[in-house]
Amino acid sequence: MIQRESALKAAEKSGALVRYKVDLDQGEFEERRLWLRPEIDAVLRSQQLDPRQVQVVRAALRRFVLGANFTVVTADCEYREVEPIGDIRELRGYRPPFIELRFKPPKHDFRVLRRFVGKDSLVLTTYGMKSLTGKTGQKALIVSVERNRCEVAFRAAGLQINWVPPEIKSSVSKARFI
Amino acid sequence: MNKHLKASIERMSDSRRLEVTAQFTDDVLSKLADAFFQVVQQEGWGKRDLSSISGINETAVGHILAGRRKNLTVETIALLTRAMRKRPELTLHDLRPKGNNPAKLLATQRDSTSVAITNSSEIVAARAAPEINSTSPAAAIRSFADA
Repeated sequence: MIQRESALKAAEKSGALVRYKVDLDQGEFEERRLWLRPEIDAVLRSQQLDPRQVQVVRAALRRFVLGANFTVVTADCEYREVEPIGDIRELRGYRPPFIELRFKPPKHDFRVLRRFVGKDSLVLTTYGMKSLTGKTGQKALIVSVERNRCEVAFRAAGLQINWVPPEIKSSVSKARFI
Repeated sequence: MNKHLKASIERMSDSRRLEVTAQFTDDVLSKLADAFFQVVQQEGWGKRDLSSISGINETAVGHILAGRRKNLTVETIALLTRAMRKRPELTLHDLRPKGNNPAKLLATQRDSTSVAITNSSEIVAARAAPEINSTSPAAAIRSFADA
């Protein structure tokens, strides 16, 4: 536990990870923790995304940090209708869980792949675009490749895969799983 | 005495407008998604069933729940939430810092000082008046906080 905290602090200090901070209103507290890889932080600060989409992303990340309700579609979900609706989607594959967050309009889906590093502690690793209708002009995400990349990024940041909770249900509190 | 005083206003920037609307939309959509998860699990209903109940087009229901609908009306939210066996309610959290209206603070300070003036000699009143006039709103806040 102490080792994990010191590794996270060291990763922040070295610039391998950027802690996502939100402006708190009265009565709000940071109940979950979120780190971004620097390239994701850079995308959110750049002009690459539509300003409205950036705010959609920031609003969802803010809700995560504030510990509000989150909906999670697990890998063994039986209901196909909820797949495009949940906040977090657990991707199929070997454990520990590897998850996706999708941010919708105004243009293409902005996809962020990520992994929990402890309960309510999340690290966003890679991102990409996906469109149902046309080319996005952005790199396509291949989940298996991104999963390997995530593991490399984890090691580079001094984090260990065995710190990742083995089940998605033990990764996030105040969430509805389906 | 204080009822005609007006606190200073500051126009929202374009980015702040986007931020505020995105946060509220996200809040509404997350609650709709959560309610949909519940009806899927408990009633076994899908988008088609919600469409039949609410009278909203099935595709529109899908777009709303997936966050692809741009303008979500109050009417749509009301119909959809009722279809999902929920009663919608808007909660407004007060973000107003308590006692932090500079104009009112200044007036309050002026009132209390004028009471002091009436109770004391004219010499004290003559000394106090210029200080009141030179007090800035920020100073008024500071002095209020100190008190």
